[in-house]
Amino acid sequence: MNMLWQIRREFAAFFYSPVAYVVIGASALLNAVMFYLIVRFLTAGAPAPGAPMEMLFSWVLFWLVVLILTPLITMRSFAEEKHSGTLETLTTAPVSDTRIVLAKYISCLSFYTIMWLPTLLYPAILAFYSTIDMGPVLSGYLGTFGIGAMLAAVGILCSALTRNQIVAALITFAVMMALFLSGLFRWVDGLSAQSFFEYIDLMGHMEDFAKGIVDTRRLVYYASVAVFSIFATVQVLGARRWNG
Amino acid sequence: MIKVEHLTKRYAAVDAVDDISFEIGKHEIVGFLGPNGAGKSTTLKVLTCSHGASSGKVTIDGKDIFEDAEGVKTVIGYLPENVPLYPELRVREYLTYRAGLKGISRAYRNDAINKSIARCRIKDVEHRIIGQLSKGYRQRVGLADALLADPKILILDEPTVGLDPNQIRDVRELIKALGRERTVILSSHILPEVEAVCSRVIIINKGKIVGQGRPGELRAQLQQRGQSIVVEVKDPNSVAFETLKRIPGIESITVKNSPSQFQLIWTPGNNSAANICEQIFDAAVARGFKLLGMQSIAQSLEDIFVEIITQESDAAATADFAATDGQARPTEPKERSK
Repeated sequence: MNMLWQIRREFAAFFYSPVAYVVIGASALLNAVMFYLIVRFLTAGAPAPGAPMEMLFSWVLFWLVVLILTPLITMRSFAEEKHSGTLETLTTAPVSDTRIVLAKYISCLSFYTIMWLPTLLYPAILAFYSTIDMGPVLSGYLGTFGIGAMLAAVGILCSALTRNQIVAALITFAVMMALFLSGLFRWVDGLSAQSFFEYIDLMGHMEDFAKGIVDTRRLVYYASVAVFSIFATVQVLGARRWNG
Repeated sequence: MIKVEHLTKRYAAVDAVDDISFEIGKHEIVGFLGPNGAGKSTTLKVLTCSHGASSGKVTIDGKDIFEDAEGVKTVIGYLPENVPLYPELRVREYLTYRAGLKGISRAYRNDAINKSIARCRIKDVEHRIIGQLSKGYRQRVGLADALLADPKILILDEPTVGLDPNQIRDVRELIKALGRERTVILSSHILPEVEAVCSRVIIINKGKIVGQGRPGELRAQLQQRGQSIVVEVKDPNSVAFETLKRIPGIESITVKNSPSQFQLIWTPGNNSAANICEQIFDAAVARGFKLLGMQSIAQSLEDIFVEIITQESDAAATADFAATDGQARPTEPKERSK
């Protein structure tokens, strides 16, 4: 009950800042442009490279939205509380560090999820004009959520490392880009760890998810990174006690 | 209620708190007094489980703070230095959130908030945005938050910093009233404040406790160390100066505000103030200089404070000197024997 209370406050806190509206607005706009382009592209008469929703989840623009907007969602979670000193009142309230971190994580992930809600219109629109295969659409959303669950945890960890929101966003962006780009090493020939990079290639993951392929190894990967990041955040919060 | 044993808190290079021990009983108002950077805030942060300690043991309300931090947090209401608040929330919203966070059940929440609001007299701003409040109101909102869960122990870090004199008086009255039914610890670098509010004072300097007692006791302690008499002399000259200096029981003599005023520090020992004054008078008559006035001065807590702190650094300096001295001696004979 206490935890739910905390999540509610953390979630409400987004909307006291203009960042929330900018993030939701930007994602809605970018996704709309993307959808428009995809539909125009597919109706141009050339042989279609894929289904519209499949492209929505695996085009470059998708990554632009994920990689640029997610750090903006998570940047303030700890950095702001550290900056204003409210972290002290928060940590001296009778709640555990784990609960503080989880509340922030869940509220960030909820916000991320809400950011994607407007895109539900697109399958609805498509379904209105033609029949669409709902399987790949659902798995596409599953992948989007999974990657969000991982990146939100990474973002919170980065935010706990600094008292400056901009710095938090930049570190998060750098770490996310590193995670994202390291997957591209799978295309480098002659690397002994090639198959490893294949496992963590986010772009490849989303291409599969968008096609309707749900590989649980990928979900386990996201969950592992998320759990590790949350654990590390709790440790960072605890370490603050010892180093001032 | 609170028992601190050999608490040490070390930051990278400095000992912020160095092996301090003290005990605080029920319904005491204890003031931590010390210059800025003395380790007051650090001590309070350790007590509130906001910071860890390098070593030592702290028991609050029978619970070890390093083992049962959450249990300890429920009995403490804490007002941190600078009163961090969420500026975007309204006062009542903020208190409601904090009440939920402190686990006050829904049934009692409104009562608890109303009580806190009434106590801290912030009823008229309860629907205003915190970011737009004056410093005085913000301070009281912080205090209202600390009081929400009706804690047994109230820890206030510099509760009156940045307030105007009226607000300071209000806050002091409030603290006194609160101290009647709970334990209050506050920190301050302002002496009259501690003297006015606290039943006991702990003076901290450079991470160490350098004195403690009731404000009255501390004054008595210093009176044992030396009291002063200010003597005003007509046409002051070296004769007068030397004569006064030689009076038995006088420790030191300094020229005060004007050249005709001398401040004499004397040790009580066998003397009384009247006795000393008599001797001064006799000496003046014998050596033929005229006294315009004599005044025995009881020292304020402020003087004690300054004295204890300067003595402490003097003592440290002598200790350093003694240490190097001690090292120098054994090497000297060796060289000589060569």
